[in-house]
Amino acid sequence: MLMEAKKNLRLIAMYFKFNLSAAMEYRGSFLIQTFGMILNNSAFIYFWWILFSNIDSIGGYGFREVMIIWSISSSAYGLGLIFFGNSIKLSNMIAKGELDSYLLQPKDVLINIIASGTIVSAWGDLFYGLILFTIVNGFNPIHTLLFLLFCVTGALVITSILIITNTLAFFIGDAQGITSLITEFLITFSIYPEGIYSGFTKLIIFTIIPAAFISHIPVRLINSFNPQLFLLLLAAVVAWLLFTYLFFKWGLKRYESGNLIVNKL
Amino acid sequence: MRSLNKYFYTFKISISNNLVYAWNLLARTIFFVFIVFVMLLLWKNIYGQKGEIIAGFSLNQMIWYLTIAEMISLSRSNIFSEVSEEVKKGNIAYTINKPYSYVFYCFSNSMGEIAVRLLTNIITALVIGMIYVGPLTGFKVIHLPMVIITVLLGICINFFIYMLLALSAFWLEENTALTWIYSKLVFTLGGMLIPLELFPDWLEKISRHLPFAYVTYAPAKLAVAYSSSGFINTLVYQLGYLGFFIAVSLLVFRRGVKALNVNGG
Repeated sequence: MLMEAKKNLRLIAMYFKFNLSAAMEYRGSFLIQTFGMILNNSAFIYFWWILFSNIDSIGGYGFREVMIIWSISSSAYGLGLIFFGNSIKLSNMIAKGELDSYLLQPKDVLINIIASGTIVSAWGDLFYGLILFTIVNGFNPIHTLLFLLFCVTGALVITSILIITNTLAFFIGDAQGITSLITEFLITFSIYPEGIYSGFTKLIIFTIIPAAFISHIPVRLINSFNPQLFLLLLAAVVAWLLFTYLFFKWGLKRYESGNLIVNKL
Repeated sequence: MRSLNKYFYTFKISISNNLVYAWNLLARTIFFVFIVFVMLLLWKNIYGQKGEIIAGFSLNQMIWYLTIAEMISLSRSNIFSEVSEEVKKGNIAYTINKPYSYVFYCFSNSMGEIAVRLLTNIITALVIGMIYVGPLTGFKVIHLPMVIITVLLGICINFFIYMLLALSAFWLEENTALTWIYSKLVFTLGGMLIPLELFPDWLEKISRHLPFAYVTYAPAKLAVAYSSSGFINTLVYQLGYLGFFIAVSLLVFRRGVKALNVNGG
């Protein structure tokens, strides 16, 4: 089990190195996309700045808390797509029957697929979150450590949801539309204060669209650490990962090859 | 008059093409319903603390304002990626030698796409507005034609700005970041996420002269708080900016074609 995990981590690290050097080949494009994304995300600081110059707190959050959920969500999304960029393209690959080469290799199929691609603009999301968090929170080693940890847990939750929705392609064909919608729901829910949600919406963000586990619970933990809540967060992440893995395996049984000859460089 | 027929037929064909993709239409509609729903949750919370009127808007007016602004912003075509791709791949060489103006061909082609989106968005906006906050208070049907004119002009300005940004592909290899920046300027200074009345005075004054406000803010504001002077002011700015962006697009296109260098056939 441990050996297996170590092997998979090594595979992810190799893909990361390879994808990064491939992206760096087009340095100009890499920089434009990264800074473009940082600028793009910054527009929302303006929105919240205007709102908070008219009101002190929204849904129990001040400006700082909103910026923290923004920074965690952004960095988590960025981190997820830097390491597992193909998780966003999975439905397309399934629909076109492009998984053959992955099935033949002696590696875990799911990890091999999702880690073999990256999204360049995701670096902008990652840096944006890191910079924003450092500006609003200052340098507090414990907070920063927690922040980095929550970026990882958030990235795992986002990647899980991306895989699950994309895996639907095994059952319904093209799942691109539903994937973009669910991703949009997940990200949007995670960047607004927890206090504005109540009743049914609150139930949703803690269950089927787990935005609360990406940003809302982490901000509670950064403000005041609670071991039970922390364990709940970790348990939720592990549960999502397990479910995702089993769901993908179940879907994979229905895979039909497109008989395409693909060069995987 | 006959010379305009080709643009009309392009428009008609584009409408039928867009009606085929029903799922895309549905996904965009669900996104529209969702995003206004989150805005409703946010503003309900803010109004719950601040009282009944904020910057001259009641909650009812605010939600209708945001719905209409969002409706305009979502009623746009994919002109940016289409034109950018044509320029980058060199396919434009086959379009520029046809007996029509390329810029106006794209305009009539996009209008078919936009007409389908606008019609579905208007219906969606009316339904969600009524369900979320009830009928728009103080709205008179007699003002509807004027509001529609400004909405259409806003959509046209938006189109020609995207066209202009797309034409930058003649000189820039990677120009997507430009649309990210532009769309965020409409989000912020264009008042799409928040009305200009909530801005600090100095910024509100500047924003009122910029083109972004005449894409979303001005038509949405007229719809929720109509005034004849507001209509005339909006019309003057919109016609001025529309003329300006059409002229610049034509000029940039002419320059770009001279700089065009297509390899192969």
